[in-house]
Amino acid sequence: MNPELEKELETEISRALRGLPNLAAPPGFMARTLAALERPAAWYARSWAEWPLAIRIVSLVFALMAVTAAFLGWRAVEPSLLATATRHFAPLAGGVTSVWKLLSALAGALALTVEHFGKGFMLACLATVAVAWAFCAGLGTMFVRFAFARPTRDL
Amino acid sequence: MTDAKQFETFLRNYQDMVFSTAMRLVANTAEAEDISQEVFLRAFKRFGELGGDPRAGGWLKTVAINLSLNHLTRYRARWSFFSEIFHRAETGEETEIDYASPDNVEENTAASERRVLVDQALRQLPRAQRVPLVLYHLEGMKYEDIAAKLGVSLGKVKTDIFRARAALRKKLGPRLQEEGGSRL
Repeated sequence: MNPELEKELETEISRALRGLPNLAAPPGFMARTLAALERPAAWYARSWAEWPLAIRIVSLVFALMAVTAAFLGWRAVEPSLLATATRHFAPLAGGVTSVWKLLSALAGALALTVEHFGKGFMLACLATVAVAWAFCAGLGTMFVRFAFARPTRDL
Repeated sequence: MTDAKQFETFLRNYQDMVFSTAMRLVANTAEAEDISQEVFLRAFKRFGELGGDPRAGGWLKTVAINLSLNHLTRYRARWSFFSEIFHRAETGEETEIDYASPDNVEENTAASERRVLVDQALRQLPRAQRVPLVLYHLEGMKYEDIAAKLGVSLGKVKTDIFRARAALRKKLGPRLQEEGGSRL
């Protein structure tokens, strides 16, 4: 665009906007704000420094205990204890391996399917899923906005 | 005067300015009211410092801008894509506009009507255009500062502001030029 016209547009809009006075706050705004100030937030919603003294002491003791345990705990663990723990968790590790194998098999099956049907078909499927997702999310947005629309207050 | 009374006076003096700042950025009365309330709750915690400080207005405005932008980023980002599709839902509501200082009898009523139209047109701009435009023209921020504040490129800020001006001119065209240099 022509820089002169652009400058002219800026001047026009600037003049129009700078002349705008403040909007009036809604009539009940002041009363609602003062009421909110008198209603204290729950202790857990406030900063730690504002918690009740007893809770602050308890939380501090717990935090110190956790840090101490973490610091000293590793040194206190006996090698034999580690071995016991390893044996104890071995079945769980076996379960994880099975899940991994299952996932690998599924990935292999998916690769074979892609190979069989061709990339074009699979991309079309993915595109369909994406469009369906977008459609659902779009409808969801519309319905949420409709259902939770906040009442409009007069200024 | 007690602290409570002082804060009440403080609130009365600044409520319109804070509400206007939030309202022109978020373009929604209920949300602007929530943001303004949060601004004053924060001001109350620091009222010891702010109470007699002449810079309190600047502090309140900065907090109102920051909270409005945070609100737009956090609570609306997830909807922005589809909201742009359902354009009407994203652009400002159409409620009666009431100014803090009523026009005096000598003031040209046409000028006050134009101000209402400007405010309405501003609310109807898409968020991406309205926010940088308000920050530039009403809050007096520089392009670079707006880009940093919004986390977008300088080019995008300039383009959005240009589009917003063009859109405003399109909506208000004849009225913008009616009185030439006179204030709206």
